[in-house]
Amino acid sequence: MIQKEKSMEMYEKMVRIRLFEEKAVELFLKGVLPGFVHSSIGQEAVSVGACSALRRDDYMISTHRGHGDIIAKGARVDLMMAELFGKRTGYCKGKGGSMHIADLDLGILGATGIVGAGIPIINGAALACQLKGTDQVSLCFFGDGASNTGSFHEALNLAGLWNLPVIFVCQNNLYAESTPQRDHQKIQNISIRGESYGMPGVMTDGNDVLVVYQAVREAVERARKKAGPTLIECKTYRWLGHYVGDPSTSYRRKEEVEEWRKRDPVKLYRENLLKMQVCFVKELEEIDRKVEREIEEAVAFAQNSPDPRPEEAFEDVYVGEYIP
Amino acid sequence: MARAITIPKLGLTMEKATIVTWMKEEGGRVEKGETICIIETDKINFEIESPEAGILIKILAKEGAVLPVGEIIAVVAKEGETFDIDTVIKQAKEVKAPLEERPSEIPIAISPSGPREERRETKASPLARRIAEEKRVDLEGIRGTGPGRSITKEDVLRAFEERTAGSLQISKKIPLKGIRKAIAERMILSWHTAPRVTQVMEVDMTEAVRFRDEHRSNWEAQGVRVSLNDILIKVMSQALREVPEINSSMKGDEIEVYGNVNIGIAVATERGLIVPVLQNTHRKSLVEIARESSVLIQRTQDGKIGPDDLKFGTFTITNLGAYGIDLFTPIINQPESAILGVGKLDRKVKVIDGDKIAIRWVMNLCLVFDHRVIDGASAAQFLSRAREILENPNQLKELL
Amino acid sequence: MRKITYRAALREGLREEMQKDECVFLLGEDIAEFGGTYKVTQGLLEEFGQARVRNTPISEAAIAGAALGAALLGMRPVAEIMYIDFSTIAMDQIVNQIAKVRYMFGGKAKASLVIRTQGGAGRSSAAHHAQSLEAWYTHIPGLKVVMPCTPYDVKGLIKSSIRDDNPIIFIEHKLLYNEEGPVPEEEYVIPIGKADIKREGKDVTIVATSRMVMRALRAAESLSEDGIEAEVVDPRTLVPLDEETILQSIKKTGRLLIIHEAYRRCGFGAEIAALASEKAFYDLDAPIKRIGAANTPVPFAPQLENFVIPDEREIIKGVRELLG
Repeated sequence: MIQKEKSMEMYEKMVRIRLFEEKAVELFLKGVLPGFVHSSIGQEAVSVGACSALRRDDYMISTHRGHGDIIAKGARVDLMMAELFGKRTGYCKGKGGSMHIADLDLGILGATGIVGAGIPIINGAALACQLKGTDQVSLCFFGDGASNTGSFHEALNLAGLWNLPVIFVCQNNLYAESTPQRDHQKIQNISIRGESYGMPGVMTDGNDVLVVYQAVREAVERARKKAGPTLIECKTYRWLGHYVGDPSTSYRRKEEVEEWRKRDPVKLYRENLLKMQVCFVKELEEIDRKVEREIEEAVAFAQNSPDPRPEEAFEDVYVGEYIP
Repeated sequence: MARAITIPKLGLTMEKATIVTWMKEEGGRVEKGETICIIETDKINFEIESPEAGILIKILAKEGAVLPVGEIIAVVAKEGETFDIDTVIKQAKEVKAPLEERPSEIPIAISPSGPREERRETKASPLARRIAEEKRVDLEGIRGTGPGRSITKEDVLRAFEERTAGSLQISKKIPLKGIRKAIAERMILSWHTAPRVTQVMEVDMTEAVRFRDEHRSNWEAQGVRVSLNDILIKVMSQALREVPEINSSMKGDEIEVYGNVNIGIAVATERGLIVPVLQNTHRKSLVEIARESSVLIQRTQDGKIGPDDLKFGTFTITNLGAYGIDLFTPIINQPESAILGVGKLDRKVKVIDGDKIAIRWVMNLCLVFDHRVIDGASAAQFLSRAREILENPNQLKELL
Repeated sequence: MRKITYRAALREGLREEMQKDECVFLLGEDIAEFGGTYKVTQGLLEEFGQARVRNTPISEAAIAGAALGAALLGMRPVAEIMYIDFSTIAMDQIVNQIAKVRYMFGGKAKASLVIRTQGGAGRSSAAHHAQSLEAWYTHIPGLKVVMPCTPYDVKGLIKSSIRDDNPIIFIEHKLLYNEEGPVPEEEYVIPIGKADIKREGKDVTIVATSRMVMRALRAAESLSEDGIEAEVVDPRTLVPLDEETILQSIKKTGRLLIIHEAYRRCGFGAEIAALASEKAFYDLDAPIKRIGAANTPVPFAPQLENFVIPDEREIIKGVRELLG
């Protein structure tokens, strides 16, 4: 049974992700954002469900499609938005962009542009906690595409072997870029790979935030109790293409997209909260408006922020002096 | 051994010759030195002689044929000798054309554009160049000891040392070769050979100048510019005929006195002093002399003269008047016996007609002569005669 | 002064740092009971325990990633990649993640780790076990590359490398482990980025790395008999490179010969040659000479291997060519 406060928090986070992503898409299509944006609209339940099971001092690493994960872990949308704009006030001073946002204070060890690269890294974080003797856990998000990389296999093997306090969360949105799952792996349920590496593999409905939350919470308990890592698969769907601007019509049928959109995770949760009488509509609407304003302000903040100065390109290559 | 007979190179500029007459028939006997063939080149006929006694085995060119230098025209072999004609021809082609006979008096090797240095880009290391620039050392002429014979820092420093011994800063080193070397050798030879005496005579050139001015338009009409030098050539030629011991040469233990006058004109060129010779000036008119001398001087300056232009001089005139020199003692152009140095033509105040003061054109004639051959009296006589002509309008007129 | 082997000196350095700082731990293949393929870590398991001297599966990507993750949390891992030839499997983690996290995250993170590896030929270990691949890593901004060749240097530099907050690729040479040299009893550290003039001379500057330093020194002895005095400069660190020492030496001698065991083409020698041409052009009295291994994979048969790897004779010949 989840307390109301937590439920509201979870709802707020989901809305925040949804509105942030929608805004990012809108801005990108207007042409004001440099680079790429990989939207996670449709996957809010996985991000929020999983991160809600973590403490602030637990660690998380994400992917190129990481906005949702990062917001779910508590990141500030104004700093995120500024980073998307490439401004000096962004999370990474404009040096990383959409795919590389990090907030070490919140335990967000960044996102990576290389598919699967975060998985070996999360082991290191977990290892450090183990060495230090704390009960902190580390969670790694990755997609179905990443489950085929060498990094995935090496890392899961090592985590299982060393009994690392890790939760591996696979956001299986059924497509690796433009390739459907059935065309990139023989198996249907990635969760079965857990057994290969000596850890439980759990399959969940990734659009039900409570289901995800439950599964991750159990895995977190295990990890804190030093019972080792868990692989959790969350079946979900991304509403937009691989990147914003990819219509995805060449590789996904319109009907399929429509089907999944009917199972909108934010809408589902909202309905659930009302049905279970956890709160009133008014409260939800308040949250909606609050988050809307937040996003507006974040955009304004980002747009009014200064660009990085050219000299800054040479900063932070190393700790210490730049090596020419 | 079978020998190929080829068209010889008879002068530096000769390129081809025409076969005029075969003096022998194919298969006929020849003696060594006997003329086998007459060829013509540049209006000169030349007799080709057999190099050995034997048979004129093969004639390879017809009368009237025009052939380049080096072309084989016949083969001479010993009686009964067997040979392969193709081999002979091939061997002959490999032999270079015989060097033209160098006139013994002029040991200068003149090529159309002067002595040629082998054009090579100076290879020097960046460090060497920097030091050379700093120390103002010319890289030219430095021997390189670096990789690929490039000039290194050490080479530059060594050159600097050598060139700056004491307080002399050598800015350039000119190798003594070609014309420069030849001039140096000739000067030494002349200096050591002839005991030289100089006589200077001041000549009133007013009449000569007037004479030239009067006839200028006439001459221009004939397409000719007559310079004072040309007048001098004519006058000297005349004087030399009258005082022939000046027009002579010491040859071993006899003195050759020449009947014709060939005047050498000293010309200053970029490559050094060159003295082309105007032949038989005693027989030429003033206009002819003027025409020929101008052509000769131009060709000399353009570097287009050959050894033939330097031959047979009997007397040399050298004029430094244009450089403002009043008087000087040139070195005799061996094997001649005398040389005339001409000084500056200048306006001076003179006493004429007894005690009148007038402004006249005046010029020094400086005769340097070989006292083995010429006595002071002859020299003085020669100069007097020259002066007489130059100062007398009637005698000048006769020069035309 | 006592003389100990390169291996022993290296081990001492590791031990001293592990004693000093709990955050320092080792991971790699066969480093625990076995003591490492080249016995560098022998005895350390007994002293520091399994937690800090960890055997890993054969998973170079996982090893490098784990090192990064731990470093992000403030640990100081020293990961061993058994042969530099195997580092290819960890390339993504090294080049894209380890080298770049600090920069991408706007200076928030630091990858304070050392990757120890070794390379080099001379034992007929053939194409996959004999390469010198340092040039790859010198190319990547964000990494430092260290290549010590004497017992004194290796101990001083492993200590400073571990203490450095930046990621360091520490490249040893398999044929140097048994070489003995003087090493003080007292503690000392060699700063990263400082070259060492191993032999002074006035006629030619020889810049050499790793085992080629030894060959250069022997060549110098031989040349000395003919009155040619070679100055042998060991950069010790390739990134950051001690340009000053090299340039000063060239100014003194006017001639530069570079020798490394890496393939000649695009080896680090090319960088040094370019540097000399840019900054010491007017000090050069002869063209710059580069000697490297032949541009072939390293062959197996000893005669062939000796043929392709540069030796003293080549160095001597090269020097003589420069002297004209």
